[in-house]
Amino acid sequence: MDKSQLITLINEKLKDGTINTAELKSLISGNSETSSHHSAIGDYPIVEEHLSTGEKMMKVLYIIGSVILLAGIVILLAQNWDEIGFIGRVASTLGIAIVSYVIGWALSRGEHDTLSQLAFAISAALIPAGIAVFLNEVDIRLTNNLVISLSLVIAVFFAITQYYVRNRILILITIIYSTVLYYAVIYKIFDSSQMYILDDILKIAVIMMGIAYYLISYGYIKNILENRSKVTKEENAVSGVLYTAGTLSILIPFVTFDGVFDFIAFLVIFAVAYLGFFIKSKVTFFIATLFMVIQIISITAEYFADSFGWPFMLILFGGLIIGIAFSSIKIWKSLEKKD
Amino acid sequence: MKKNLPILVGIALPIIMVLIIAALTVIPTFKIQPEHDFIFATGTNDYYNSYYKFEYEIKEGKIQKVSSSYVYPNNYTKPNDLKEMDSPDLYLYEVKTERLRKISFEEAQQYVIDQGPTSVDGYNVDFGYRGNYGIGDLFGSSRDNYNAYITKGDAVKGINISVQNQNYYSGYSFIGWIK
Repeated sequence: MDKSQLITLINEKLKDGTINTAELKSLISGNSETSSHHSAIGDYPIVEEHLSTGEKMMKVLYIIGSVILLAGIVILLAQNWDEIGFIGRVASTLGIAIVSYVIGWALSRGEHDTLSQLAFAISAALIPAGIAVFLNEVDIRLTNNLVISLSLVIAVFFAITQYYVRNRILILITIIYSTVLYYAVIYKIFDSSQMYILDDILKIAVIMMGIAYYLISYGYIKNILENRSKVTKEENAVSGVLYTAGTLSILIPFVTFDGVFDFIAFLVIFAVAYLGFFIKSKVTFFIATLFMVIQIISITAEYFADSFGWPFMLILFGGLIIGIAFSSIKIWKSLEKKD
Repeated sequence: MKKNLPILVGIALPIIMVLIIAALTVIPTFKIQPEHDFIFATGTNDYYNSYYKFEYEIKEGKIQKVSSSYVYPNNYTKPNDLKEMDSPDLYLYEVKTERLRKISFEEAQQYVIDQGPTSVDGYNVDFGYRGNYGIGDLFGSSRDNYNAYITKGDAVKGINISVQNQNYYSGYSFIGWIK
């Protein structure tokens, strides 16, 4: 295969969506490194984007322009909501969602990747609003079954889109709607069996979802690093969002358990903080540290405030927060050195 | 397959959790197997909607109509459209077929009724919605699914006894279990 054939092939693959510009750039930046150089834990080297000033400017302008455009549409709609009638209300929500989706798909093949992602995000955000407006107009109440059906259809729809388009934002959109589906199904089960939502079961369900976020994020990055040596900023952001959601989904329910779990929560928070280092997620480490502070304050207040008095407790809390913050930075740095 | 294992496990985990919750919550409802049908009345005297001249009581296992003991409170102004009716409607719920049918007072008189409220096999009927309100409503309302519950210990089974023109605030009243 000579140079011109290779260029033609790459061009074809870019056009049919097999590979996108970001992946190509990451390949160029990562050049000869292979995945075997990275440990299984993944240390997410990020592609340095070699964008010209014009390209950077264009990206920023896309985002600013989209925000202004959306704000304009929202204000215009709010001012004329009653006057535009049924068709106008549905068209301005569901209609824009569909148009945005088409734009997102149409631009996904070219160089306007940022715009494509923005269009898909607008579409995904407007679809539920559009459906709510439509249902309200035709006087249909949003039942649990309807939420399950709609979230399933939308999640599958965006998952199929992701299969063809390969756009990072679509992964998040699919996961968001799958999450809605998950909680709607759980709510349905509780409601069908006429049981009040059992707090502890619900908390375990949230923790399971948190673990699922972690696994999906880990698998996603691992798969990328098996093919390339670096991830793009956006891929890293997808992973970061999932790790953040995972951390919160695991830690929030854990610190709300009572009794012996007050103390088990410390172990879990510590494990999550260590996991943060393991998966190279500073945000996970930071959130876990924050929860450690909250948990210490909550336990001390619950069990020791009466014996020692509040002024002493305030001094203790202040000292603890400073101590934890200081030691967490030290731990992170020492782990980094060891690695 | 091995390459995508973390993602596959990540997708499977919520599905497994849903199945576990389903097993934990649905299985107890299988314990609800009442043997006796029951009768209830719809509509009770209230300040706003309806006034019944007669109400029901059970004497020696038989349903009887007695003059209403309801007195309209002095501190309320009687609405002009307050409906004055003979007696609340009667309904029979067949537990085996889960069928609801309206019955006449004459038909109800043919049955031997145990006014309970607990049946001889240990069941109770609770009227009213028992949904998971609050944050759960973000995932859609399902308050119309059930408006009565057959209970035994911790086990609960919802039944739908929605009757036309009947609102929760105008009430259902349990008459008794058919012996």
